[in-house]
Amino acid sequence: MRETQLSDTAYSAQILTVSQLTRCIRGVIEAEDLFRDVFVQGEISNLTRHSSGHVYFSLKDASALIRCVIWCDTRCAKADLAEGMSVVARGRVTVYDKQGQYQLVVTEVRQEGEGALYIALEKLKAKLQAEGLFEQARKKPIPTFPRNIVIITSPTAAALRDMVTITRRRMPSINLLLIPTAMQGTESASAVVESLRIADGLADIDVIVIGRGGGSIEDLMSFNSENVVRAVCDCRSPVVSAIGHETDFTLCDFAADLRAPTPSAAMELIVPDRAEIEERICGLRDMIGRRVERIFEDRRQTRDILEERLAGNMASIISKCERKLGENVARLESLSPLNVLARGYSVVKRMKDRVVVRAVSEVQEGETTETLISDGRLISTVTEVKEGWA
Amino acid sequence: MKKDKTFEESVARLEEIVKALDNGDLALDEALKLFEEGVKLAADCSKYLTDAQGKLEQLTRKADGKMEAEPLDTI
Repeated sequence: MRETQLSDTAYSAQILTVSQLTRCIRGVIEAEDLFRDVFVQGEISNLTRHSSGHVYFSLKDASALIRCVIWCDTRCAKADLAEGMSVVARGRVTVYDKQGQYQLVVTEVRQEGEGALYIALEKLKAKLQAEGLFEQARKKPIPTFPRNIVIITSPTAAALRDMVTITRRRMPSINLLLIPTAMQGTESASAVVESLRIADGLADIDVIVIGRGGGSIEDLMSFNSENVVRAVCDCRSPVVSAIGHETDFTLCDFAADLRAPTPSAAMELIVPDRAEIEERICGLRDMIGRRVERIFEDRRQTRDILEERLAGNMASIISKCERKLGENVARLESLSPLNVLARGYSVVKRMKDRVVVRAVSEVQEGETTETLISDGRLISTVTEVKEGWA
Repeated sequence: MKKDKTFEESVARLEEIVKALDNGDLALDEALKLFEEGVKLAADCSKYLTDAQGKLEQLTRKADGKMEAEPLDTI
């Protein structure tokens, strides 16, 4: 009998409980790499939203069906799903033991059309990039000390409160102007564009901040709109994009002059810290004081040196003069003919013109000469002129 | 703070003055002039920093379509 055969085999092998077998199957399925992160395309049917928040449905195509669940703590649990909708679901395959069912635990779900949307976004990005709208070179500098900041955000958002609080803490004197703007929904792109135009038309605006708290990529699609990108690029004032999402970028981020990961971070980046600036100003003032003091000290020292030098010079000039004077006096004395005569020298002059005779050739034999001696004169007649002393 | 000089320019000017004073050939009266300017600028800057709290306003569209800034008290 069939049953006997079965039991024979059964006793020779290990007998499993249903739970054990199910666990084994589950183990095999969950160990499979392919099942850990899989994208499945299909049509939604049997959609149920449980009161707990979990969402159950099936994905099916012409010839197969798979059960799917979205746990309530998954972001896409609130996604706008409908019966018959064609979607791409992403998730991992697991086994639901109690019903002996394998199922897809969905982590992300997109309408099939959205795939096309992503492709369109990439195309738009490439186009705007080719136009040079994201170039580093066209980015305007953010003023170091902004005085007037315009905030484009939703008036009800926590983002606004954060931005105001941080600004007040860092630099209370800064003026903030909110332009209430819808940051979510289909009209938000045109709302942001209009707010940017209004903001840029205002006088004395130092910087414009577009702020929005975190959100799903779907929530942030407005900031990928071509019009928003162009409006940001058209602004004469620098624009800061503070769309809260750490991981992904929007096209608005690329177009902005500065990108901050969150609205709070934007204010930390653009609002200078008062204490820091005060310290810097004090430092500069002290530096000016010290330098002027040093200049004055230098000059005082220079004057002292000059004075000293002048005094020294006068002394040396005077002593030089005295020495010169002494020399001159001595020289004068030695030059005085009386002195020379006293030492036994005499001076001969020609009688006819009283010219001192310096060479024998200057007198002729028979000529009368006058000889000056220390105590009188001798009038003589030259009897002979001899050159040389021999 | 003078209207024609932004805070940024004032700080830049302060830095310039410090640099100018580093020049040893500066005439004394020139140095004094720079000193006076610097002290005044620093005082202006400090005053700007401790100025009264800035405004917090929001732009709202009036019935006639014009935008007007109104104080925003509660956020």
